[in-house]
Amino acid sequence: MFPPEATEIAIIGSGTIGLSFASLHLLTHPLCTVSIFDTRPDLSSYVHKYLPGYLGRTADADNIKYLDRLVIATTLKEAVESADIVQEQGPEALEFKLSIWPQIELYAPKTALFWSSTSGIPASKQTARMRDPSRLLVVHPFNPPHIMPVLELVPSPTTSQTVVDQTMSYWRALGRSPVLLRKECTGFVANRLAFALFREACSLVAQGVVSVEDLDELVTTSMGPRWAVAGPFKAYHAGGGEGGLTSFMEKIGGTVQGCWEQAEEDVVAQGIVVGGKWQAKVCKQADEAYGVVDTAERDEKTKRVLRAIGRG
Amino acid sequence: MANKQMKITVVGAGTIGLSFAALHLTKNTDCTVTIFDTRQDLQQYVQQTLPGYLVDVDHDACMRRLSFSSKLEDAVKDAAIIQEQGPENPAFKIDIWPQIERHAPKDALLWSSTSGIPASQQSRDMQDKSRLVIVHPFNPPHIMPVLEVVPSPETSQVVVDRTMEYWRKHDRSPVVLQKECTGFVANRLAFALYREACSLVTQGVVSVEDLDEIVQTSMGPRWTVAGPFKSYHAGGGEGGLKSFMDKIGGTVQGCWDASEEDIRKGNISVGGGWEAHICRQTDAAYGVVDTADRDTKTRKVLEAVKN
Repeated sequence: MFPPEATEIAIIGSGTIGLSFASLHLLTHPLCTVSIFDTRPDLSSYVHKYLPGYLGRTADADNIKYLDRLVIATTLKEAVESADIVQEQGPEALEFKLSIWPQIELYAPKTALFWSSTSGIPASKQTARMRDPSRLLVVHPFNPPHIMPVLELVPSPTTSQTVVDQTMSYWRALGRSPVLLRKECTGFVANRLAFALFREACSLVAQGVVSVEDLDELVTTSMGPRWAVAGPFKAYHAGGGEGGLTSFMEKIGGTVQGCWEQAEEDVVAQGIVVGGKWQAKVCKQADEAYGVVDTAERDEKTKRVLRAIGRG
Repeated sequence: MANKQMKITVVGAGTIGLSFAALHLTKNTDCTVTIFDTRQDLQQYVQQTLPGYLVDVDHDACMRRLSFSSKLEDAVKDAAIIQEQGPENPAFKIDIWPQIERHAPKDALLWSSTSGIPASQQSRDMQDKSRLVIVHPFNPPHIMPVLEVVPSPETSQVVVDRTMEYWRKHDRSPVVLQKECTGFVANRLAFALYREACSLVTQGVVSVEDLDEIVQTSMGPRWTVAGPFKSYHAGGGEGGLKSFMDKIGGTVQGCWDASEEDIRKGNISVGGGWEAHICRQTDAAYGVVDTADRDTKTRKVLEAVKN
């Protein structure tokens, strides 16, 4: 069932995450086959048009090797009936998740792993109508998963240890970085952290301290490189010298608290809530600064950075 | 800016001072550096420690351009740039700048590396407040290219321009802040993420090590290539950041609300009960960090992202 053996993966939902995951499996697991299912009527032409872009190839001949192992399923049953793994990235709507899992459960083999790529609907909610809720695990990527190695594994309180272990093994064997969260929470971890920084960023730009472009420049030349090599705890621990994080907090704690308090005050004063007055101004600045972003270039650079830290 | 043997005075021989001294010696081959500090063993200490900061460069050639002074008046005489990183207390800064002003050339650039005491406070007793500007690094400056240039309301545009020009010429990424604020920008952003990190670990959602792993394999690489605004703007597709906020705004607000509640519940303030637990976990996870290894990897990352 797991690498290096043949694995059949059913991808439910052919949006950007679905195609990205499909290509990830095809590229890194040479013995897998991937079935894609989506309700869109033009599924076959759509997948054949867009998947090559994720595979990183343009010539048809190169794609054949991968496309041989790709099946466009016409029904959900067809997609999952012999799957080892069923990976869902359909609409981010509770009703969709609630109704699809019992159907998948009905048609899929008893030992198939069930994964949802949701960013916000925890497994404990999605499983409400399932016979065996222990089978479901949230496997949340950082966009796009065929480039970014991290996967947040978020079990519900009833997810079985076996499912967690097998999921971990699968991703580790493919060279990804699965991280197990110990409990469900709003937004999980990566988005919580990123949005916390984003809120402060919006606050500082709204106050006129720095422009959108300059703030981005600041981050790419400091926090980005720093945190690619050592996350925040390790970085501050190193900053504390021999005394580690304890020493850092003793020496710099006053500064940290001052910043935390000012941040709270500013967020209120600037009204940094989604839809607030600040938003249009910041979005306009971003638009003027960046126009349409060349994601191919961004993905290339990201791959180089990942190689530099030994994750690419 | 003079291009023959420019003299740069580094006030304060702590880690930031030495890192800056090394940076100038490495990147500005036309300069000499004079280090001023009141410590007794200054010369011996610097000669022992500075080579560790000199990377991919002829140590002897650099050290030959280095001199020492224990008298401020001599240290700043004829200097083109005087860069201060003394104790982080207002009294020290307020006291030293008028002295420097008295003995330095009239057109010398005056920079403070402070992370928390703004130029408007430091310049209180100066004759010409327009001369002082903050040049705040990200530790360590000889590795991390960004510098936050933070003028006071009185700092002259010429001083800001000359400062920017110097750093751009010497392979750094200076960014001008348009106004002074607590913590400037880099620390405000990093500490915001850090607070959320402490909150999530305290709640038991994730361990210290696993949170670091998540950041290292997502935000770190992502934000090395494109900052948060550009990243979310790209994430919005054709409609950019506006489209991102329209589609994902609900999720974002949900996270912001949950964060506020969790921070309140967990009492995530410095000195709170959570702190010892997290420090213990961190210590157990990492012990003593090999900073040489960290710096080597950081340089590789910075190289990887260059055009």
